[in-house]
Amino acid sequence: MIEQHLPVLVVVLPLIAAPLCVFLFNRALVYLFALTTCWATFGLSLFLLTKVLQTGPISYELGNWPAPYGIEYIADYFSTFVMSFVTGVGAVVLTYAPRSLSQEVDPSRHYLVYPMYLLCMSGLLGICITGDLFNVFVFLEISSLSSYALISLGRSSRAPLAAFQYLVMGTIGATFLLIGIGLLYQLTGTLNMADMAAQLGDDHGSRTMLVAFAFMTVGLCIKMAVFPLHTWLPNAYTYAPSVVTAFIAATATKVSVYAFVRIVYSIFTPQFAFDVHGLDVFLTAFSLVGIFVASMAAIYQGNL
Amino acid sequence: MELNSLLGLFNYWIVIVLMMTGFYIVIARGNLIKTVIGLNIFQISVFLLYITMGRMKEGTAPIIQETAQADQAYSNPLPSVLILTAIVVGVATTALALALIVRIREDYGTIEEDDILVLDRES
Repeated sequence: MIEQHLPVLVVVLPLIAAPLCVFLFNRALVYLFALTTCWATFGLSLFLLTKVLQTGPISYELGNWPAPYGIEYIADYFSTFVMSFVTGVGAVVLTYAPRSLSQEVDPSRHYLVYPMYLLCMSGLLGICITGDLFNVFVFLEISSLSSYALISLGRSSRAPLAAFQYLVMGTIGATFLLIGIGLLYQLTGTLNMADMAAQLGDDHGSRTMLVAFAFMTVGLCIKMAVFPLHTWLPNAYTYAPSVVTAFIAATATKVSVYAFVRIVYSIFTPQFAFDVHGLDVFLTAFSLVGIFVASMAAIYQGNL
Repeated sequence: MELNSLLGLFNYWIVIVLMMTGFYIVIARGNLIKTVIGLNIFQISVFLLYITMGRMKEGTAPIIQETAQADQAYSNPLPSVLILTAIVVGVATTALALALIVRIREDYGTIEEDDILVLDRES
């Protein structure tokens, strides 16, 4: 019975546990509760992964509304792999959280770290599993908003400013994504990714589609911190508490890459992105510049 | 372009003007509060884009009534519903940004980005 609801359970478990954390004022108790939730979510996503490996992709209809109208969750090989990775990193990092927190975060704020952490994880998992484009935006904002709050908890006085800069950049990125989703909805009349791909078909000439693609690419590139749009990243990672840096650096940007891959491969098709518009050339160039510029900056960095 | 199509796209022109205004404020203004205001204008232009695409000429609210004519057109409610979610997200973002600005003000005593950078360099 419960096994059938596994795809949604993985997302909902940390989402429900997060507000419950706030009511547990005892620091050790909150830690144990959040830790249990994290490892349970990791177990659930591993279970989902083995199930998908046995039976093939699972489609789950939220609230039993059929797919093109209701929200569909798709657990396939790629998404369950990324989910296991995110929950695995989350669980391992949280296990070692108390030491970092006791040194870097004001004790009165400790109980706030755990709900934010769980919310962030829930948002990232939602991005992975959803088959609905607007849901991607909502989960992206859930994970981003909680990560802004997490970064601002750092003890250094520069942490709030770093979080603010990340907030401004991140909101612009998410709004760009929202514009792209809106234009695609205008073109196809659906938000379900698979249905959208079917509606778009092989028609690669439309101007609206190109504009939507451009907005979504730039929006997600901000979230991925691709070279010229990376400026929020160094400060945010430096001034955040180390638990938060370990978790966000390992998962948040990678999940954005996942979302981008999903959008290119399952909606726009690689022919449209790579053959017609040459996205691969731009991305390779920017990544190469990014690798070299970042390495040079690291070599000449005086503040370690 | 003909005058008719220019006027027909009136809402979209407003969307673009608002979007660019908001974007310019975010980039050009050093005051953190003004950055947040710019961010809000930027987001609101997108809300307008969504609401425009759901609206239909002579379309009414999508509630089926027995007295309605057979060829009655209805506006699409879905974009409005989507944008309700986006408005909630926007309000949460604004609240968080203002809270961060309060903390920045407590730490630095100013909300001008240039002054904060000077203070950072001195410390």
